Amino acid sequence: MDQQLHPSAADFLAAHDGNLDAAIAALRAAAATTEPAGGQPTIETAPRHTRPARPRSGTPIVEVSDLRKTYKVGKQRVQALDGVSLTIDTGEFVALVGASGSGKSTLLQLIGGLDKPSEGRVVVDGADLGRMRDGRLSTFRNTTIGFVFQFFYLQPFLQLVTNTEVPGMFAHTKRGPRHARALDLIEEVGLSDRATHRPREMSGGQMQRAAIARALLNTPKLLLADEPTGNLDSAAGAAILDLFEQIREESGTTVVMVTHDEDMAARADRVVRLRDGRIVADGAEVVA
Amino acid sequence: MIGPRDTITLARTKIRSKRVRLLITTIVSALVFGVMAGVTVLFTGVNHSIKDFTRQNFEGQFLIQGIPNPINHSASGADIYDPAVIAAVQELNTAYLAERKAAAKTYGITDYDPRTEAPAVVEDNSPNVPAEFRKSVNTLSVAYQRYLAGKAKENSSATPTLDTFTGLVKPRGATHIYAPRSLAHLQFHLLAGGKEDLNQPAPATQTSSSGRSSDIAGGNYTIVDEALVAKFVVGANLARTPARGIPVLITADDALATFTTLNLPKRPADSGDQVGWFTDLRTKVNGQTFLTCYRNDAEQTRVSQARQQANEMAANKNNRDYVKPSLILALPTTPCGMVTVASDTRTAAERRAEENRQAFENQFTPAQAPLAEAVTFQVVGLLPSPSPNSTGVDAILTSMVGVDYGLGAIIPADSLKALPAELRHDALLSTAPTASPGGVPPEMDRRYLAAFDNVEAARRVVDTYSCYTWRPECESAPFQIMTYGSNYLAVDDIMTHARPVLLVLFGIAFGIATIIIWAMMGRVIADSRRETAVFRAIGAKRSDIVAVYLTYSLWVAVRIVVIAAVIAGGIAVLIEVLYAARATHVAQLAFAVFTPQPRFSFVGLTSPVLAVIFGGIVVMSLVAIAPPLLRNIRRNPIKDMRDE
Repeated sequence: MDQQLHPSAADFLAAHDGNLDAAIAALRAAAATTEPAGGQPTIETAPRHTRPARPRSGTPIVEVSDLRKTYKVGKQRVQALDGVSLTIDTGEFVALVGASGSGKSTLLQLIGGLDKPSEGRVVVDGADLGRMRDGRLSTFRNTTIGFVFQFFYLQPFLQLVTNTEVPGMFAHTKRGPRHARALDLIEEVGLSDRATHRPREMSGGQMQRAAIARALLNTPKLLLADEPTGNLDSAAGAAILDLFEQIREESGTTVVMVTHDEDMAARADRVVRLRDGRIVADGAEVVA
Repeated sequence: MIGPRDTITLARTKIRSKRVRLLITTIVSALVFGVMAGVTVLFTGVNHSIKDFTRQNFEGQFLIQGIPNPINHSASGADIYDPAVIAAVQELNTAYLAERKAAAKTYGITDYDPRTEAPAVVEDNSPNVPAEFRKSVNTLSVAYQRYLAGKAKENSSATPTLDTFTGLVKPRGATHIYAPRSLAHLQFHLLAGGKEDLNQPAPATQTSSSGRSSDIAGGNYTIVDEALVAKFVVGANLARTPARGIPVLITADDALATFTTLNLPKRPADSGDQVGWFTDLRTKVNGQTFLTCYRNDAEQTRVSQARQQANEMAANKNNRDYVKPSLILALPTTPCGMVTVASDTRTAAERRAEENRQAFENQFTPAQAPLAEAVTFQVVGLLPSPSPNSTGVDAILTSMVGVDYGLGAIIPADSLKALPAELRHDALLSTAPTASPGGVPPEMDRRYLAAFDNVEAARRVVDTYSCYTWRPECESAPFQIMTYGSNYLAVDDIMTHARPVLLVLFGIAFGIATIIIWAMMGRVIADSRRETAVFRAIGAKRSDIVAVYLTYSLWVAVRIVVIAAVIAGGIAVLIEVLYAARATHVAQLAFAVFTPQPRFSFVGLTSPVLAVIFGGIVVMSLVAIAPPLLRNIRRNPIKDMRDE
């Protein structure tokens, strides 16, 4: 299903003859002169796209509706997410962007079923995560979702190939096929010569690639990456992004990446911006 | 749930993290548990070894002995401060003095003075003596003896006898009952080298060359059922054919002290050499005889009188004013001979007065004809002879084995019966003991033995009737019952008495180890929150996490168990290597068991306490990890990842 633009955004785009770049330039100019109402921004600058947007499949894999998440910090309640609704299609590469505390990581974790929303609904691959019991949710995460973390979180005393096999251990995959699949993935991420090495013998970029290989072991439909390049230099970060694109191209895996790096976000098909727990821009669409 | 191999793979990664902390925890815990297990192994080994030797020593029998319980027997004594007892004794004393006065009048003893009699009641008015203890009965007075005799007569049915003992132990599985008969009242006096010098008074305490109280020199002989001591009797051989005296089993030290002219080899210092020495000594003394002398009280009195007269006359040799006694007694000139009358110049009146005095005394104390009888004993074997002078480890081992037959020199009953009549001294040996003034009645000075074919049956009887500390039920027990021959229940006894202390010590040790392991496990779990969160993120169920950490905990426990077992085994093997051979020699000497088996071993692995210790480690490790683990898996994984 095609995503419908907000009427005001559609009008704005039409006023610029459908030229996206021209519309963005106009938006930037407007942003420089528009005062935020009530201290809240009403217009967000559009993302810098360096590559053309990929056509969306129209088959949603993630459907988030009116999602709210409140944390209690001491005696204060913190609204991490405040009515977020978002649909991500199969095969999309989406970047969640925002300042620290904007709620992007919280959104990612709710999509991954690692946390329960205070209100709202998260449906992944047709399954309502809020209705799942803990055990089933774990199995669902294991088979449908792959996680990549900023700090890799590899087991320090396990060889790379065994680290890659860990999700398979929890999935009861037979040892032989699991090992073969892990070696294939290690080759795919370019670490064949490191298969028997331990994490401490690898660079940050290599460890993150290893973590990606681990996340892909059970062939997930959805890959969630939380600041995957946050701990890497720009070259290594770019290589990780190349890898995400390659994965998406080859297996059609949906990639949702949290980042605060605009350059990295620009590599995504779609950039969703969050501020204060709300989506303020979704791709070309600016949310009021 | 995650498979076992994968569980172990992930648990191993925990083992490899925090290595120093884990190593310290493992070693400290293993040391604590290892020492506990080592002590248990040693105790069990010693216990089994002593039982093995005891079984071999008495042909598979475990013996107990019963001694009449003096606590509830009034004939054994009375409260000498009790005003009622004092009044009763005073009343008896009044009657006694009246009898004496009347008898003195009858026999024409004009110089009889009742004040020369021992007072029935004595007083101590020292200011530091409490008022209630100032007046008491004189236990040496005739009135008190009469009081006790009356009480004994009243309680004659309560005096425990062989039948009482039999009725007590038979229903509890006793297979044999023995009633050793002590001849200590005969006070056989050893005539060293077959000679006697009555001019020299006997030493107050007679000991063997080793310093140990000598049974032979002390006249301590007991007739014992042959079956009980047959093991120690050397087979009959030419040295004992024909028989030349009453068969007797003596200790090795008594043999050395008695047969000084035989140049017998002295006891070597090393316990290992003592085994060979003992068997050699047994061969050398087998068939040897020694002479003793029995004198009854009347003859002893005459010997004393004769010696006193002789000394008196020697002292007044040059005193012209000295008047010799009218009746002069002469000491015997042959070994164990009778006192003779050297000269009797008494007048008819003196003789009559003396006869009257004798008749007067005989009315209150039955007359006894003087008797002296030489008795020859022939050694037929040696009793188990633990070294009395051992020091260091040997002393510990000796006391641990704790063999003590307590019967003195032993006369095997059947061997005695088989002797020719002229060697048996039937009349003398059948003389019954009499109570000494203020002493324990003879029937209370008995010892009965019972044999059981298993240690548990013996233990049940001992446990039922032992009174290590006074309890009300002790008073009603007819016998005090304890193990006999060796300390085959010693380790059990030690454990029984030391159990509260050991329980506290074990509890403290267990507590310390538990705290260490709990702290370590809690820390490991706390440090693993992020890892748990990551595992949960990539699809681990809570049960998977639990499986991984329980496997880790089990792994830690198994390492502690293995190291503790190695420490315990090391302690036991070290003691075994250092002391087992020596302990075997000590036990062989103590039990007179010289067969290749049994051997003394310090290693005993059959105690259930070991299972409790090692099982406790595993259970405690699993319990230790449970609370932090349960807390951990209930935590929100996101919070733990965010906290990093």
